[in-house]
Amino acid sequence: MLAGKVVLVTGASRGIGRAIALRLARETPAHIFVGYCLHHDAAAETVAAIERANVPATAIAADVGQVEFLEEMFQTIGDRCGRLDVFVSNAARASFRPAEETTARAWERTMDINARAFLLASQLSAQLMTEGGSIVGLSSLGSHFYAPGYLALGAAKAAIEATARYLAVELAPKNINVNVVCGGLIETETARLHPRYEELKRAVISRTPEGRVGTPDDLAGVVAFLCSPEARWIRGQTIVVDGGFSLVS
Amino acid sequence: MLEQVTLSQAEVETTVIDAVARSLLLKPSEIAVNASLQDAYGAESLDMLEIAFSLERAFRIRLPHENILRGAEEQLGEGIFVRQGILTEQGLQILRRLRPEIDASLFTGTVRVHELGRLMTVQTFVRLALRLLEAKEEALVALRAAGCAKCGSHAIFASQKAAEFVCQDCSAAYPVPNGDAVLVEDVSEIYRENGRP
Repeated sequence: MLAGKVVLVTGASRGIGRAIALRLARETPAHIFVGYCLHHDAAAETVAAIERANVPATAIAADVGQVEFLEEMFQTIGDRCGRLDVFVSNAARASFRPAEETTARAWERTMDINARAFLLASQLSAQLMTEGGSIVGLSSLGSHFYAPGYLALGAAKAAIEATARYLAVELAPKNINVNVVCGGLIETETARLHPRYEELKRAVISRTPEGRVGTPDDLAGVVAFLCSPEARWIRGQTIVVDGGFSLVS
Repeated sequence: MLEQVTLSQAEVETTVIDAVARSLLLKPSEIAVNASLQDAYGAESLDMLEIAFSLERAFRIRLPHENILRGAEEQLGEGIFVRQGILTEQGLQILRRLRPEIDASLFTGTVRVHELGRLMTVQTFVRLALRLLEAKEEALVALRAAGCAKCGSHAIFASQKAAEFVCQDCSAAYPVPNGDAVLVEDVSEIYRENGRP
């Protein structure tokens, strides 16, 4: 499905991003770039796992919240491969505070790292997608619903969803497809660091028709579909992947 | 061209202040080197990660990202430095040695591990950067002495673009020392100096 294609997944050293990179590796692209910030060893492990699937891969360290590093990442991809066909914007970082304690800086930085990074990286991707391509953003239910301490990231995710709709229209003439995958609670190493994770997990399971929380692979399969030719008629949509949680909550 | 690996304390401090100021949206003149970044400027984990990334790029080093005391316990024995989230006397001794920039009185009594983030200052990053630049230079000297594992050349240099050493003759690349490993070894050494096995 992705033969000959060049792929970039940001935040791909661990968790959801890693699952997406490995899922896309099954489609045998020409190269996968593993974007990451500070987890060098984890990024190297992801690269090794992709290479075990006989797909060439390269780790690229980039803090997507800093424009110079974001531009440098795409420069590297351009220099190495001269093109990009699939961009999955998965990197995320945020300030988690109640609404009344969310400072101007916390808001600004969270927006920069998530929403601005999605816009700028999509622009830079489009420059390298000379034969068309696919862009997929990652969102979460906090963009639609209330979650304690999630104001800044929820707003940033909502901005990603809105940005995707505009990009989908304006990049369509370049044959670039843009969509968003919106996950519910996904069991990852990072999620388990939440001080009340087990309580949260039980609450989500009790309200999820599927009777479990999501896994990184649940999202990865949908991302892979949105990167495929079969998804060409889906444009600017936010696909909710939550086992039905949001339908009954 | 041979890169100068080590830098003066003043050079490192200037770079750290610039990185901290940029992340916290402040002017460098507004940053006090001994002030808690969290308490004085409201720095959060996302700010700390951004600062760390900027410093890794600026110095081409790899800062520690894991809990160093826990990492050392994996080698030396569980519960030596931290028990139920509280630092033991040995853990406090280690931190007094490992973090001389911090007022030693703060490492007495009941200190919880999750409170240590509040003690991060510009000086903490400066000390870490200097230590890792020192380790980087030591590793380069050792690598040159041993020669390139791929072609045997001793012409190995520190990259001016990435946190790695590069063989001039065959382009083989070697990572710079991992900050977690360097500090875990430092903790183990202090532990041994304190008369522990």
